[in-house]
This record gives sequence, C-alpha cells and structure tokens, in this order.
Amino acid sequence: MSRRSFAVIALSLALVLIGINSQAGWLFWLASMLLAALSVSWLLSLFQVRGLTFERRHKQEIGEDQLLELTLSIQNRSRIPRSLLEVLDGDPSRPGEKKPRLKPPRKTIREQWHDPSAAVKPPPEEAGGQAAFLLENMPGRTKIDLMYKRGSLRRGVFNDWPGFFYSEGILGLTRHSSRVSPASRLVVFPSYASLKSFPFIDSLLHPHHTPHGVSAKGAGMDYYGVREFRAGDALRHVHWRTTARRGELVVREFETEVGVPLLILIDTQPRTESQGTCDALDSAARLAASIARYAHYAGHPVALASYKGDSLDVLQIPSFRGALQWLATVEMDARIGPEEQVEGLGRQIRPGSFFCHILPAVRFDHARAAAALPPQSHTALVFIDLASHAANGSQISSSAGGSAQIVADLQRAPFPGLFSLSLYRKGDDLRECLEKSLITFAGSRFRER
Amino acid sequence: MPGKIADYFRRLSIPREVEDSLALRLSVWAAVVLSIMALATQAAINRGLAFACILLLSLGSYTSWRRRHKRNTVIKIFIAVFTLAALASFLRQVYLQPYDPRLPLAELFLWVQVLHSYDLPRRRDLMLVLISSLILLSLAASFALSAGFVWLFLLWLTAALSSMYFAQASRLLGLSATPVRGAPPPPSWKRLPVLLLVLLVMITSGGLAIGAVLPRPAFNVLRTLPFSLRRAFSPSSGFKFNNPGYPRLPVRPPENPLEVNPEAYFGFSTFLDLRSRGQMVDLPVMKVRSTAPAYWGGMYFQTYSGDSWLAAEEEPALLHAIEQPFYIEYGPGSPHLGGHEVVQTYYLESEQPNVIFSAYRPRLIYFPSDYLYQDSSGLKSPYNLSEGTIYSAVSDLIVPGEMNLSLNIEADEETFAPYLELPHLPQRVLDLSAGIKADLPGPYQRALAIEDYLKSNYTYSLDVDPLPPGQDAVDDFLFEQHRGYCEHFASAFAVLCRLQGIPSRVVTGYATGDYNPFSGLYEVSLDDAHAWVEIYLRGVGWLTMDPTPGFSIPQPSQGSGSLWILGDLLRWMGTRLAALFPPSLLSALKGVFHAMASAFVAAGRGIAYAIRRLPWLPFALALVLSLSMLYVLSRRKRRCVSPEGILDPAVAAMGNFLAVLASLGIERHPSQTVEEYAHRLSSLVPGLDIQLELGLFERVRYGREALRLEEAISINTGLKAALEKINISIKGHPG
Repeated sequence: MSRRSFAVIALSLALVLIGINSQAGWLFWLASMLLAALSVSWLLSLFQVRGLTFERRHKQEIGEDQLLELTLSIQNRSRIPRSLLEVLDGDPSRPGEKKPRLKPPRKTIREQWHDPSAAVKPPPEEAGGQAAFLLENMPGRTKIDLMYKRGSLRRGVFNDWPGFFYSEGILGLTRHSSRVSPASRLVVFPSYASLKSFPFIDSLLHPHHTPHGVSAKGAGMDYYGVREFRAGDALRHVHWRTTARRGELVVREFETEVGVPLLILIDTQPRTESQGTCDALDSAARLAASIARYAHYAGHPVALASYKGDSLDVLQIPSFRGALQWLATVEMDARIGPEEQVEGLGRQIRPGSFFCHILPAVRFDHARAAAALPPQSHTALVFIDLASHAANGSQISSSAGGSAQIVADLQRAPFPGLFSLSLYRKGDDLRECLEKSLITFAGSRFRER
Repeated sequence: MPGKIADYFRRLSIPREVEDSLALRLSVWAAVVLSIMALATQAAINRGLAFACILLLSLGSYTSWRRRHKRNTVIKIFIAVFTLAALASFLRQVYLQPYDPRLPLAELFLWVQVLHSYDLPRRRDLMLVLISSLILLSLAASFALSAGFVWLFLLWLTAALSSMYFAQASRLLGLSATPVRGAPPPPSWKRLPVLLLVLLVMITSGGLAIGAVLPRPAFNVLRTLPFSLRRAFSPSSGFKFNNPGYPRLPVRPPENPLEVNPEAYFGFSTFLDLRSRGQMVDLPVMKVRSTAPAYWGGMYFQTYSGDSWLAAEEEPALLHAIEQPFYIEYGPGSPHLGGHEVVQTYYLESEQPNVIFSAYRPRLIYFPSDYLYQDSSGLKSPYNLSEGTIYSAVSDLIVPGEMNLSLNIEADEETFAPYLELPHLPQRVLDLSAGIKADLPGPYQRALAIEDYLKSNYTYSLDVDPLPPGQDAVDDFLFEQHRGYCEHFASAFAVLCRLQGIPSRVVTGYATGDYNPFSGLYEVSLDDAHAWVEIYLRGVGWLTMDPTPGFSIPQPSQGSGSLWILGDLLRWMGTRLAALFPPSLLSALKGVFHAMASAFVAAGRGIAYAIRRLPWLPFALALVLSLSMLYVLSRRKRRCVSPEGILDPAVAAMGNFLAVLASLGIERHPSQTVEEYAHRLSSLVPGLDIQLELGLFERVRYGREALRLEEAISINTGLKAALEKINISIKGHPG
C-alpha cells in the first residue's frame, strides 16, 4: 500500500460520509468506483509481477574500474500482456537487498539548501545501485533481452544477487514486487596501478643489497634457446625459421629471473573504531594488486597473505590473474591483531626476502604500534589512513599532523628494519602513492619524498 | 544571509520535474472539461459560465504547456490575486445564502481550477488538477437527480484513468534507466484504448459490486437542507386552493361526477370525489431524496359525505418564517409519539397544486417562501409548485412495530368527533362492521382486522363501474362492485374504522415511487398517486395504514433505501431489463424460473426426507467423496513412484540434487525440463556433464524401467560429483 492508496481510501470515506449526510446516491457510487480502482490496481500489480522469468548473462570476471555488460532476459510466460512493469536488477555489491529501490535517495535539508533541484537517480554505469528498466508494454508469451552497463563495482565474489519485478498496478495506486535470484556468479577484481617503479624493491635490488637472481628457463620475456615441439606448447612459440631448417617443429624457450621472494600481508582485522574498514580493505587490495603486479613482472616470486579468522591463507601467485582472483576474495575477517599476524607468518618470511605489510589504521601511531616487523627481512609498510575512508569523517579525526608529522616522528624514532613507508588516503593516486613512497630508507639514513 | 535566502528562493522557483507528456496534459484537460460539463448539466452552474470556464481553461492549459519551462512569476501573482478574489466571493455568497453552500463551493472550485490551469509545470500539479476535477464531479454528483449522470461519469472515469496511466508511465520512465539495447517499444495507440477499456470494465464492475454492498446508513447531521430560491409572496391576497390540472375546480363536489384529467390527480382538492373514474398516465412528478421510504402525503380529508370526502372547512393559519426552516406545530389534540426522523428533499419535475407533500408528520419545512398555510387538511404553499421547485422536510415517522400498539384505550370521542362522524349508511354496512371481529380488545387490533378483511375479500381494479346516483360509495364498493381502486379501499377502511369507534381520515398523496439505486432518489410519477388512511391511537398519534391490496406502508428499515443497496440494485436492473423484453417472453421466463425453483425445492425436500429416513446417507456420501479424492490424489502421486510402489533411488537422487541446487539459488523453473536445466547448469559451470545421469533418470522417470544396482550407484555418485563441482564453482569449496 502506498501513500496514494491511503489517500484514495480517505477520499472514498469522505465521499461516503458526505453521501450518508446528504443522501446523494451518486456519491456512494463515486466512492465505490474509487475503491474499485484501488482494488483493481492492487490485483493488477499483484498479477503483473507473477508469471515472469528473469535470467541474467554477463562476464564472470571483471575489474573494479571496468563497466560490466549485463543482459537480462525477461520472459512473460502467460498470454496476458504486461504494462508499465519495472524490472530492477540488483547491485552485485549489495546482494542482501530485499526491496526494490526505484526512487533516488532523498536529499537532506542541507543538500536541499545547497541544491534545490530534485534528486535524480544516477544511471547504473555511473553510480551502481539497482538498475531499473521500464517495460511499458510486454505482450504475452514474449521474451525481451535488456542489455545495460554497470559501473562502480566493488571488489569481491558475488553469487546470485537479486533482481526484482515491480509494478504499481498501471494506475500507480498500489505496489507489488517479487524478488528473484537468478543464478549468477561474478568476480570483481581490485583495480591496480601499472607501476613503473617501486622504490622499496628497486632500491633493494641495488648491487649492495640485492641477492643475485638466477637465470632459468621459464616464462620470461628474454630468449633462452630452442627445443623440439611438445604437446601443449603454444603455436605462437614455434620458431618457424629453425623448424624449416630442421624439418620438424621447434619452439623457442624463454628465460625467467628467479628474483627475491616478496610476501605481501594484508591486515584484515576489522576495526571497531571506524566505519570505513571495508573501503580501506578495498584500497588495501588495490595497493596489494599494484605491488604484486610490479613484483611479479619484475620476476620476483610473490606471495599474498591474509588471515581468515585465526588461520593464515597464503597464495604463491601462479599468475597475476590468480593474484587478482585471490585479492577479490579477501574479507575483513581476521580475529588476531597485526603483531600476531606478523608473528604467525613464521617461516613464510625467509631471511633477506621482501615483506610488505599493508595496514589500515586510524592514526599512524596505531600503525606504528601494530607494525611488528619481522627480523632479517626488508620491510615496507603501506599505511592506509582509515580516517579518510570513514563514511562519517566527523567521527574520526584524520591522521594526526599528516605526512609531515609522520616524517618528523620517524626521524625522531626510526623503525628498525623498515625500508619504505607509504601513506595512502582515500582518493589518492595509487601509482603516485607507491612510486613515491613517503620515506625510503637507504642503510641507516632515509630519504624523504 | 538575506542574499543567500533570496538566491535559494530564486533557484527554488526554477521549474523542476517539468512534465512533458502531452498525452497526460490532454487527458487531464478532458477530465476537467467533463467535470465542468457535469456541473453544468446538473444545473449547479449556468451553462454560459460553464462555456466561458471551458474556454478559459483550454487557454490556460495551452499556456501552461507552452510556458512549462519558465518561471511564470507574473502568472503566479495573477493566480494568487484572483484566487483570493474567488475566495472572497465564495465567503460572501455563503454569508448571503447559508442554507446550501454547494453552489458557491462549486463556483469556487471552478475558478480555482481555471486559474490553476495557467501554471501547471509539474506532474504533481496535473494530478492535483485531476483531484480537483474529482471534487467538481462529486459536487455535480450531489446535485445529480437521474441515472443519465452515468454517461458523464463514465466519460470522466475514462479521462481520469487515461490521466493516471500517462502519469504513471511518465513517472516510471523518469525513474528508469535506458538500456543500451533491447528496450521494448512503447505501447501502440491501438493497444491503449483496449487497455483502458479493460480497466474501465474492471473498475465499473468492481464499483458496482462494492457499491452494492456499501452500507448506506440513514444518518443526517445537516441542519440546513436544500430549497430553491425564495419567491416573493404577499399574504394580503389570502389563500386559494389551486390545482393546475383542474383549473375551474369548485370548493365542494359538483352534482355530476368530476371528469378526470389523466395528467393530474383529482385527489389534490378540497374534496375527493369517489364517483370519478379514470386512470393516471405515467408522467414524472417529482424525485424525493429521503433517509427512509414513506408515503408522501398531501391532503387530509375529514368528512365523509356518502360519495366524497371533504376537507375541513376552516381558514388556514398563516405561518411566517423570516429565516428557514418553518417549525410546524400541532394543536394539543394532536399528540404524536415521534419515532424515526425522516429527512426528505423534494425536487419537482412538473407543476403541482399548492400542496406541500411530506411524510407524516412534518416537523420542519425548508420552503422557498417566507409564508406557508396550515390547516387540518395539511400544509399548503402560497403559490403553485412549479417545475424545478426544491424544498425539504423533516418528519417524525411512527413505526408500528416499535410502538406499544396493543393499548386497549379508545380515543377521546369528543376531541376527535369530526373524525368519527358518518352520514346515514345502509344497514348492511353497519352489520358488516359489527361482524369484523368487533370484540377485539384494542383499536389497533380492530383496525388490523378490518385491513385484513378488505385485503382478503376485495380486488384492486382500475376498471370499476360508475357509481349509481344516490348510492353510497362505500356500500357500492363493499356489496356491489367487490372491486375498486385505492380511494375505494381507503374510504371503506375509514368508514369501517369510524363505525368501530376509531378516529380515521383519508389521505391523498403519492406512494413511495421507484427507488433509483444510482441517484439515491425515489422517482415518483403521476400513476403513483395514491389514497390511504390514518387512524388515531391514543398515546401514539395518527398512524398510517393502507388497506389497498398490493400496497403496504414502507418501513424505514426495509425495502428501498435500506442499509444495503444490493436488493434495490437488482430490482432496478430487473425492471430495466424487463422493459426490454415482451411480456409473453417474460412470463415464459418466469414460468421456467418458477419450475426450476420448484424442482430445487422438491429436490431439497427429497434429500431432507431421505436423510430423515436414511440417517446414514450423508455419511455414505461423505465416504464416497473422500474415497474419490484419495483416488485422485493417489493417481497424481503415482507418477513419481516406481512400479513397485517405492520411490525409485534414481528419482530420489535427482530430487535431492535439484533441492540442493535450489538452496544454492539455482532453481529449476517448473516449465523447464531436466535436460534444459542441465544445459543451463553446464553454461554456469563449464565442464559439468551429467548426461549419463540424466539418461538413467529419464529411463526410470518416464520409461518406467527399474535400474540395476550398479546403475543406481552410478547415478548417485555422478550427481554427487556434479554437486561438488557446482559448489566449488559457486562457493569456492566442495560444500
């Protein structure tokens, strides 16, 4: 029942009362017709959302910053046509939505004051949310395919998020909706920056610091040699000239650098003091993806680690896509603090290896206290400013003193073993944040950005 | 800050959510025009004003369409000023004529509607206009007196439904995104009328059904009832009775029987000539809006002369009321134990004599004059009641069932001597009177016995022989003719009552008429002219009785205008339908209906007899019914059961497989075959192959074959493996 239906009932009652008082028969009929219109609208809205099927087709994997193309197949199984039927496709990032949301969210008084224009619902390719499509006319026994694009996807793995059929019974007096959960699976990878450099790795690869890498056959870019063709080899690796010369299929082999192992730990302990932890985790995943990509293509074996409850989940990434898939599933569900998380890594961190700790915290003091640096490893700390990710910034103060304060703080009391510190605030450019670390230590001295 | 506020208001005045749907604007315009036409046809406003308003409204609607994206500041000021002027005019009219505020209210709404039409940028404005048009239509409906209003009402409903449809389409379109591909085409113009027609039929049928069961209690809190514009009258010229159908009517009965004018009732006169013979034609006389059905009495006759009834010879009292209503008072000899209050409004449709009709007995009269006349023959108007005259009355009706009418107290003969007087009557009339249960204790019982005697032994007929000269009319009716019309029955009843010592008088007026369930009015025609009797009961007052066969005094809680309209509606539709068919066909249909009803009654009686004689029969029937249902249910279940009667393991495994998938959100649609479903699964989970399991399942399910043990194991393990694959794909683990 909507407000309009209550208005119709009130109007009908008023007409009946006037009719009783004035004994005007037509007023009773007028009231009856209004009530009949309400009943018909109710029945129509109920009927309109029944007897329909909803199927959804789309790519199963996509990046956060990409547009997802979806095709909704709506089928009217009955012979009776539908009019003014709304089809709403839920936002995969919010799979728990139980009601269709057609209207744009109401403006607050403050927003209304600054912009008196009416609230407008942004299209799904810009703002995400539920995508609503109007089927003004859908004949019986027909199928309609609606294709649309959706943006603002959040990182994660989403299954069977809901869709809705919504009707206001042609006359707009009543409303009914039915929720459907078509089988769907979508993996949204975190976005990442293609780094050109990452001072933490680059500076440590200096001859003074870097353990020498070993050349070996692999899937690198540099030419290693040729060998006879084996089943499963890609055709694009066939070395045609040698093949022609030898009279049998010969393929090229490439060399790969066996670099210094890098372990990236993402702190996934939920923070009670901040509402922006989910956003911060997304930022952490983006930062991790960017670092992992750089290190992976630089030839370093990269491992990603996070805690699920009390147990450690480590992925030695086979490919960058595998890393993205893993990062898409990371949830804020660790039950132990950052120090215990680092301690729990144990033998995962080998002496001389790289260790990157991505740590969301409200204030740098907290991060400092929490960042337990493993001994005998080269550590980089990526501090995510949780305050800037909070939905309600007024509740949480921003990082005390900002980067200047952090630098001053570090100069006063340096972290032992810390080689690089990056600070990421919401809205910062990922690439800039990582390529120009706040502080990079070289030996006992550090260099400011 | 003031600058900010000014800036805010400047931005606020920019039209937002501008409605661009021309179809919506046109349909709203049509709804308003139709509501104005409805007001004009119900004479709530004059037609010139209606025409001017429609022109101005059309111009306004066009202007607001053209200027919908502009601020229209000047127009807004113009609307505000003129709306205030219209309001002032409304208040002035209500002050000058406080009795019926509907007319000034209609004019106010009309002007507001016209003014508002010049600035309608948003959909919300248009919807407000639609609601205003509904209010205008309601005002017209409160004036509507005929079923003809239905056509304008249906047209308005069509326009309103179109408006709501277009508004809804426009609203939803504004809230919806545009798909990149595959947007369905909007409905074609050919389909819209069909959709609207379907809606109209559904709503009209639903409205009729709801209206039929909508309670209509007779409850009135209005204290100012409608009456038409006052007419000037000077009381100095004195009162003169006038019946337009009988221009040269003498004060007393002429020597020869009065020649009947079929277009005017002869009973509205100072005498009721029982020698007259003739029939009235079916001409509309008036419509009565009343909280209860009643007889609408006009003239009260006191003296029986042998061939006529005469009104009392007295100078009527002049009633004067500077402000309405007239409070009608009665002498100390006419007590009245009031029962139900009945509020009536009379809408005259043809010229009538200067008799004021009302249900007995009127207490308040709202009449378009400052003067009225009152005597023992009833209330009289100072002038003839012309067509279009409206007046109202509030009466106190006595309901016999609610009074203690078994009082054994005779009326005071001295006070009511004029109502007991009789001329010399033949002996056989006196003997008859003495023979009709004269020994009954109370006057009311005796009156009932007389009424029963007349209704049982005499026939109502409009074809009666002329009264021989010198013959007593009652004697002729009772002993010669044995048939007569209402005047004869009423006369005989009154005379017999007087012979039993019960004061009585004959009343002429109109019977209730046909109740129109749509307008809520009693439609009274000339052939409803009727005569009945009032008897006086001590402690109660004058009580209406009707001895004419086929007539009965309407009760406030029964019949037309009762709480539920269903019966009236069916009766009204029945009479309208009956008019469409020839009488022979109707009587044949009636015969068939009666035969069917008799057959049903006989069957019912037969069953009842059988149950009495064979008490086990209902149980046997219930047993047979239960067994049949069980058989049908078992037939339905058998489809899933193997020939051995046990649910096959293959079917069970597939059922389990489907149930687990449904819990994962991958439900099989009822119309999907298992194979189609498997195809869908393989598109979701690449590499999934359950063709072998499907084949085994189909063999059992449709081929009615039994599986071997290894096949049963194979389908179980295969489906389990498939389930694990799906779980891994969806949840990331085997589940």
